[in-house]
Amino acid sequence: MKKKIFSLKNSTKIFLLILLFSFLSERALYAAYSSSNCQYLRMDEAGGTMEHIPVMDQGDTKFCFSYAATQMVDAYRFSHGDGRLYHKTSPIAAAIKMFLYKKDKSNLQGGGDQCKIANYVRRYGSCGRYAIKDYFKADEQGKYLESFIAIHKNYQSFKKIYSLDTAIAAALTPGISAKKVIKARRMITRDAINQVSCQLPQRGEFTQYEMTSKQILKALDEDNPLYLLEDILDTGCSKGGTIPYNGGWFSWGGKGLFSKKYLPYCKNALLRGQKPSRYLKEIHQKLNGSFPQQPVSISYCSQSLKKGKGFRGLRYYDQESNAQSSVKESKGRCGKHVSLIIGRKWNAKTNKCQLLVRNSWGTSCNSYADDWDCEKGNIWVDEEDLGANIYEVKYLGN
Amino acid sequence: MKLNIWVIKFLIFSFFLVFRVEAQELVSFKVNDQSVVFYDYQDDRITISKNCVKKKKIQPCMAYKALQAASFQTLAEEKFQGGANPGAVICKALKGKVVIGEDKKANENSFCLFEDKSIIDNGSLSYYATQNDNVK
Repeated sequence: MKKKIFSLKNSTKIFLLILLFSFLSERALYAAYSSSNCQYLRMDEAGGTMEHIPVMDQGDTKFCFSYAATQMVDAYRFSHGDGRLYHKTSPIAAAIKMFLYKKDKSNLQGGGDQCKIANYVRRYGSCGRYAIKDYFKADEQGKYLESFIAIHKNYQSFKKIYSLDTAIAAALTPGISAKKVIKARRMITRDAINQVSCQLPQRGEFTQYEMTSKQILKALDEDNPLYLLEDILDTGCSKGGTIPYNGGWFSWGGKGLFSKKYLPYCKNALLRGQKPSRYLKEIHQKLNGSFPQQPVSISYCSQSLKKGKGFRGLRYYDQESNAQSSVKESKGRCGKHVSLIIGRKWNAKTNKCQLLVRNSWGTSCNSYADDWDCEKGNIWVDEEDLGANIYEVKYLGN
Repeated sequence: MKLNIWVIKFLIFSFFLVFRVEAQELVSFKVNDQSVVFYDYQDDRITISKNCVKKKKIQPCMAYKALQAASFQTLAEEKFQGGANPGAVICKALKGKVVIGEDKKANENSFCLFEDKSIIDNGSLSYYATQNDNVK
């Protein structure tokens, strides 16, 4: 009887041991499988694609998409033989020039497409960061933009009234004669020109650029306030030159001594409405597939960087609705943003794959969650948490 | 023998000095074409200009006071569109001036400059705004 009980107990022990072993081996197998799909990669280290691209801070400007796009462009140039490391594409200039080209005023309120920027630069070249620094002093990036837009808005609203026939304008404004309308029109125009002149870089400080009253008036008359900045940009850009000129550059190798290289088109790899695993798969495929590895741009909820593990900023709707509208951000929770993925590592402590996010909020790590390791503005985030907050993936090339 | 003791003393002092310098966590950035030194209190998540610190203690300068006033609650959502740095948006709301600093490797970081010339990292402002809002 005693023997039977012992044997029973032993069998239970053996059963439990087998169960434990199978559980652990499953975990080990999962970890081994996941880690094999999460090979170490870091583009900002020596020899990496992003080695020569510093961390940037967009301040209070609303051009995150342009910061991501221009870094993708430069990473491609530098890793494909373009040795002009001094020419780093200006995100502000690229965004303004692209808006002017597309005649798209809506983007001034923030938000835009990183592929539109990259493809614009591919075709028309880019302006160097240092070439325009004198005009858009780095410490006051948004100043000119904001004041120009305000002056332009005022001028346009007055113009709407006073550009009417003098008699009609006088009739619409009780107590004001046609003569006074003409006088007021002149005064408003003069005031607007003076305001713009005052906002322009001081003559003594920036002798390279002067804008005549005629030029200012012409710019004020345009529908898009950004025309005011075009002259300034063009003057600055011509100093540093636009790169890539005619869409390409020469580098060693190829059929001849030199061969011409071109920027590839930017690809909208995955737009809204996909499952997190699909976005992650696309990112890994791009990271594994291209050599030299290129950064991948993601549109995602920036709050995931601040809130840490478990944060979900997107609301998922049923599959019946169409793909474009099937994912919406939870109001006030997401913090729509665009950044780059520039690395990957397996975290052996947590048994999780992490992706390295290159943000455009400078080198400071003060604002990010404790859950994520931050290295000078580059943040290691668990792919599981990042994937659940991504809603678009874009990159250069196929 | 005496010489050896002095050598050991010197080595200990040097080690102590180096350790102290590292513990202070000084970082420098070029702001408005001038080199500005910052104290980086990593545990407290505060990076603040040297002119705000005396004997390693932060003085009640405008930049430090801004940490207490920082909040996201009163700010419109549109201001954060286009991925604007949240700290820079708060800086403007607190009537500071957003300035971009550049380190030796040309990496950028934005700071908030106040009238008394004290400067604080926008990341610190963003962190304390979240903390303040959580308390409220």
